Formats: sequence, structure tokens, C-alpha cells
Amino acid sequence: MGTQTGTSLRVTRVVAASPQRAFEAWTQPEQMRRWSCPEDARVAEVESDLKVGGRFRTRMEKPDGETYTAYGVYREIDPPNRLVYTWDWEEEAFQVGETIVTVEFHDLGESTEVVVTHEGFPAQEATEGHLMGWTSCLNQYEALFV
Amino acid sequence: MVHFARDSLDRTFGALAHPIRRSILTRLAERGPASIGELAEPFEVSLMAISKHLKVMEGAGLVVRRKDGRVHRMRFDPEAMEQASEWIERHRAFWEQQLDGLARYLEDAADESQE
Repeated sequence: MGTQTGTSLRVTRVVAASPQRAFEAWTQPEQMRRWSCPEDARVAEVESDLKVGGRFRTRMEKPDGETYTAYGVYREIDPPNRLVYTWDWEEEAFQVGETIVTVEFHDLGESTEVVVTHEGFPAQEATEGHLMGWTSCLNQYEALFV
Repeated sequence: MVHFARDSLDRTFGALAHPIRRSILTRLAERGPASIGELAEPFEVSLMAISKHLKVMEGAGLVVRRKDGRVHRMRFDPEAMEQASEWIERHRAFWEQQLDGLARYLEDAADESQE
């Protein structure tokens, strides 16, 4: 596992800030703490050693005590344009092995387009759409074979 | 978060990481169960090679074998696929949330600096 082929999950957002501001927000622990959390959780710990080979770790905690701890190693750092790091979860229940996250910050003038690409799920060319297509298609067949 | 069995996802993604296997899976999904011979037909590789691919897919729980005398019929079992696609969906949702948080944070900061 840990290849870079295949299923690439891509999510984008335009943010009201310069690429520099967006890049800093993404990488500085004190700022990460303030935004990088799902609504129903809080960031309990953040570490970010921003250098190639440096580690990051972020632990998110839900009110019921459930935690999600993401960690990885920075591979490429090109401020304010691009960041590449490995990604896995510490909690065994969520692990799937090392994947790769690439974050790009595209200058749009008055704003920045942030593009997150999460890849390394080793199914080459098996796009998410393909998988979802199979899923719905298959439910019909499953009924036949029960 | 739903708990995913790491080994199971590992095997699913591994099984999907080959174009012949994906092609076989698509065929089984779209056209129903088939014998090994039928599945091997479109490809220029040996029956033995197809058989090995099928074993990988069986190991991942993606296909199920039924022995009909000497004929082995394979059928697709969607459960493992659903796990894998759900895992990807949850990560998509996670990143969407992350970016929502970033956008709000940067907008609030921009508002503050104008006061």
C-alpha cells in the first residue's frame, strides 16, 4: 500500500484570503486549531513541524470522547503554492494505510482556490464515481442471489 | 465514524488494483454470474492467470464461487465494494468539512481586520 496510483479524491473551495494567508492557516498549529475540526468536535492536539520529513499530528475529539487522530509526514513544501504530505489515522478502526494528501493554493487575485487531492487508495482508475456506480448497479443483482 | 476493518479494506483495494480484475468485476456486476471460461474469454491471458485473479477477488470477498460439478460459476458480492466506497465517501465528507472550516475562519479573520 502507499502507492500513488488511482483513486483520487478531490475537493476544492474558494477562500477569501491570499494564498499566503491560506497556506499559513493550513500549516500553523495555532491557526489549525481554530478551523481544522468537524463541527461536532474540537481539536485536542495539533503538532506541525513544517519541513520536509517533519511530522504533523492532529487529534480531534468529539463530546462523547471518541477521537480521530490524523498524522503524517511532510513530503513537499512550496509556500504558498503547494503542500504534500502522507496521511493515516492512528485509531486502528479508521486506518487503511498510508495515503497522500496534496493541497494546492491557486491565486485568483482577490481570493484563493484551495484544492485538496487525497490519493493512494490503490485502485488504479477506479474513480469514486465508478465505485459508486458499481454499488448502485449491484444492489439489484444482490437481490437476485439471496 | 463507522469502523472499517483495515485488512478487509486493504484486500478490497488490492483486488481492485488491476485492470483485468476490475473488468471481470464489472462484467459480473452488469451481466450476472459466469463461469471461469466465460470470464476468461475477452482476455489474452491464460485461464490460469484468470483463475489467480479470481482467487485474489475471492480473498477480498468481492466474488463468490459456486461449484456446479466441474464448472465453477463466479458471482459478484457487493458488500466489500460498499465498504470501500463508503470509506472514500467519508474522507470526502471529512475534507469538505475541513475546507468549510478554513473558509469560515479566513472570512472571519478578513472581517476582523477591516474593523
